[in-house]
Amino acid sequence: MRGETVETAIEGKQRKIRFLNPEIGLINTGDPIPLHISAYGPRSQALTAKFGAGWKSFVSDVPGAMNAIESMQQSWLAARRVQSNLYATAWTRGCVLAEGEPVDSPRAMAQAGPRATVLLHRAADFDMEGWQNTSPPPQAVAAEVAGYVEMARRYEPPDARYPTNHRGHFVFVKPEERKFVSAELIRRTTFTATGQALKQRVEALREAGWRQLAIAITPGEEPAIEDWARIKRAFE
Amino acid sequence: MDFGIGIATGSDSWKLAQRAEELGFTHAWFFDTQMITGDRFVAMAAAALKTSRIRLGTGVLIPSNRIAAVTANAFATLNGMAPGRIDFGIGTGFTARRAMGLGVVKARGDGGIHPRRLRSLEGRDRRDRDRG
Repeated sequence: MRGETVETAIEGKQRKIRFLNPEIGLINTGDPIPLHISAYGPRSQALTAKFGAGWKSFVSDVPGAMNAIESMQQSWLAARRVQSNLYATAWTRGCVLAEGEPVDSPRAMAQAGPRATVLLHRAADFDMEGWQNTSPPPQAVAAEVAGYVEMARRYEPPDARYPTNHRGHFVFVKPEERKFVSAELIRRTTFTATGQALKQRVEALREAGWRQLAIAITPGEEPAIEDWARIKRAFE
Repeated sequence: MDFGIGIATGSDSWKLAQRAEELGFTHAWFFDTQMITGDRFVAMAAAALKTSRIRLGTGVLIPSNRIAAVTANAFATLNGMAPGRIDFGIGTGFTARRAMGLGVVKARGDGGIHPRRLRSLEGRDRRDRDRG
């Protein structure tokens, strides 16, 4: 787009590359493509600020979302950028509950459960690889996490347990892991609440500076988009 | 406040993107977990042809699993199909890498792709506009 030649590593060597004939219209290098970086730690947030890119982060609850954006805003300001220009996208998954519907109802389990299991899969990854988990699970769900990790130690084959661990990751709840997806785990890791409560959460995010809420829709649960559209309409 | 949706990429993802557009969502983001979901550039191409307003983005692209030049070409091609409606989300991709048995990468990546390099091939950025 800029007509620049850049260097990139291909087959182990640095190569100079550029689009050779963008002017003939086979590709579009004229319209801008905004950059958004998923950044959780200080280094990646500093990189986001350095580029002036959009920022994406998963959020589980309002206090966590507040802490996250405050951290990003500090990096943004440290890069001498205008705070209001930070385009922050909060990613989440959840379920818009009917009045009186349990947080672990079958519908909530299907829609929000795949987000809740991320905590389990990640803990098992760290366990099977011997990595240090710098973000240990909250004590309130420690039993669920420990139970899943113990089960995952028996995944086959022993030298490659990761495929089974990640089967269904973020798309469905595996039958054998269902017993570890408690109401508390869903409550702590997803946006699962009544419409009124969710609107309050979204309003808190908006006031904190988040510019977009991105709701991950579970395969097979596509009608949930209609529920989230009702939440959206409250902010139009 | 903008509202977007995240899509577990599949061959019929365009249907959800189309419905999101009808409902007034601003963005449709497509997952990039190759061992779990479908190919996002194929799915985004279908969505590009079936929608006219909603923005289509990678949510997020995993650079270590793709070659920079080929990835830039895919974005530039999508940008021709949906001019000015493409967003480039990028991340280190814990899940997409772990599903292949790979470890964690740092923000500057060991997969040969750095955001600045891709963007230089692909397009203008907000760097100057946002500078305080």
